[in-house]
Amino acid sequence: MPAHTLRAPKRQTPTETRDPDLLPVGPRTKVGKRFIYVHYESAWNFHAEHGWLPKLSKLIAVPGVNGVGEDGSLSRVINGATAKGGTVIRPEDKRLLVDGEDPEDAAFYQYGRYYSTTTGERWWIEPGSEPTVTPAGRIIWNTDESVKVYARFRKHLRDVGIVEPIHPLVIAEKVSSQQTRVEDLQRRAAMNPHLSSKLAEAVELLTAMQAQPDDEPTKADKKAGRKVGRARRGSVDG
Amino acid sequence: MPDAATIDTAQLITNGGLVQEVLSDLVLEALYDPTDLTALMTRVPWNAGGSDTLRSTIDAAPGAYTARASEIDGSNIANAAYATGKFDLIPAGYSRRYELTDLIPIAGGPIQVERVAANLVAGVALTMTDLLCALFPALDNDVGPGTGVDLDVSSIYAAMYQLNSQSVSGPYACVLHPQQINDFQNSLRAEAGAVQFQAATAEMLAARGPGFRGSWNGIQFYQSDSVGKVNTNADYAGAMFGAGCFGYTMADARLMAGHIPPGLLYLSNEAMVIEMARDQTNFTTALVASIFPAVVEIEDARGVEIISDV
Repeated sequence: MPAHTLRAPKRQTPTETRDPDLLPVGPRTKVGKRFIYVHYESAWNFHAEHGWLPKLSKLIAVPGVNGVGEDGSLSRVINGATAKGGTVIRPEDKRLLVDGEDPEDAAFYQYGRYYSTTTGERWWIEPGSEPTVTPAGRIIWNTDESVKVYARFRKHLRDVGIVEPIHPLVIAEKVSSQQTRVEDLQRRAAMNPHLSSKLAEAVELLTAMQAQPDDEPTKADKKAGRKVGRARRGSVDG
Repeated sequence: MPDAATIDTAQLITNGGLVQEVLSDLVLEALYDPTDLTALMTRVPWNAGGSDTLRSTIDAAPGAYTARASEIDGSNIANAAYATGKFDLIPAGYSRRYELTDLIPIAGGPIQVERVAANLVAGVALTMTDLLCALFPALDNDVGPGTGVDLDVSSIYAAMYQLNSQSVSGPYACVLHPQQINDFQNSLRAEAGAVQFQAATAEMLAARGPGFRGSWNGIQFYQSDSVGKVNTNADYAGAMFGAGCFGYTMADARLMAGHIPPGLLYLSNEAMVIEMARDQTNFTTALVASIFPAVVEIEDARGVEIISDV
């Protein structure tokens, strides 16, 4: 073969390139699973800005877990939660729309959302969660911001009546529980000086809990003719 | 011939005097969390009866007798409701596949089919741990120091008190994320008073690997990185629970072995099946492992979720 010059070399994409729109998943990464929220009547916690907010449980839609079949259907697990007295927060509930927003751009409507990952799995996220991927492939979540969005989400559930309003006796139960925590911290703070800041926070929270709720009565409260009042003391059976 | 004093490795390789690289027989495992929490669940034997659903019964709780009122007011004893419960286990197929090229046995490295099969067997326990931890966020009751706050001793006591209030028999198991364990230890370390002098406190502070972390106040502590996040990634959701809170079944994988040509069946037992798939046109042999597990929350009151900062 006579001497010849090769034509322009082929270009090769750097092998380490990763699609920036995909969340990197390594062997030790735990991917967020598909879920649906459920609320149980006694599950409330106190938020400094929004008052009493429903605390949501997550029913994870993983095949083989709590009656979820290979098709991923949640019907059995929803039935189970309902039988326990839970209120299932259906993502397609139109009441999740805030002030007539477009369903396509809605913040809370169809809250079940996901990011695609490098392994093809879907990474399901909760309202407000936003990942940042570092050059080394670490995923950092915007927790400070997302907890605020999540609080607004729970406030919305309460305000539009998707969950039943908190019963005054449940408030009393929670206040009593916080009182116990304060007393426990008071007993231990003398020997454990590092607990003094926790004690101060606990007292502040207790005071806020005991105060008249800051929020106006919700639409659901008004509809039911319910007064939002100071907590009364009660005891629980069953 | 070169001077022996000046021979370097490169010259030897060039001259064929030295094998370039010898692969050591020593194989180190990559870091992972091998925690197997299957034993913390109640095993329900699988009975194939023409359905993919195994329904089990929770017997009615015994009740105290009622005084006969007929001697006082003439009425008969009322019938007591025999209130049983039910829970369903619906197994789902879980599989993992590794594909080996023909060059692997030819090159003769230490990672051969047997080792890959062993790796697949180890994955069964990890799957069960993942499935158990997926049940925690569905528990009705929860305790914790508050969202975004590190786990402390008080929260562990609160969980213990809650289970005691529900008449859950001990010993309790407590499954936490490694970060929650660190925070709990940190809180224990700073605690002065009665807790400080318990032998179990010193024991609990000892360094251990993943899995069982020690016993404290009758609670068996385990750590697993399968414990998931809640509250928009702000918190981990561990759990403390008594026996009978969660259950599992493993559908008999051997029953599907009849579908696999005997020559391709690598392993078959009640828990799992490993089959081989030969792709001669692509010069690969795959090992495919399959299991059919199901887990369920049997009785919600027997467990409490522990929510604390990530």
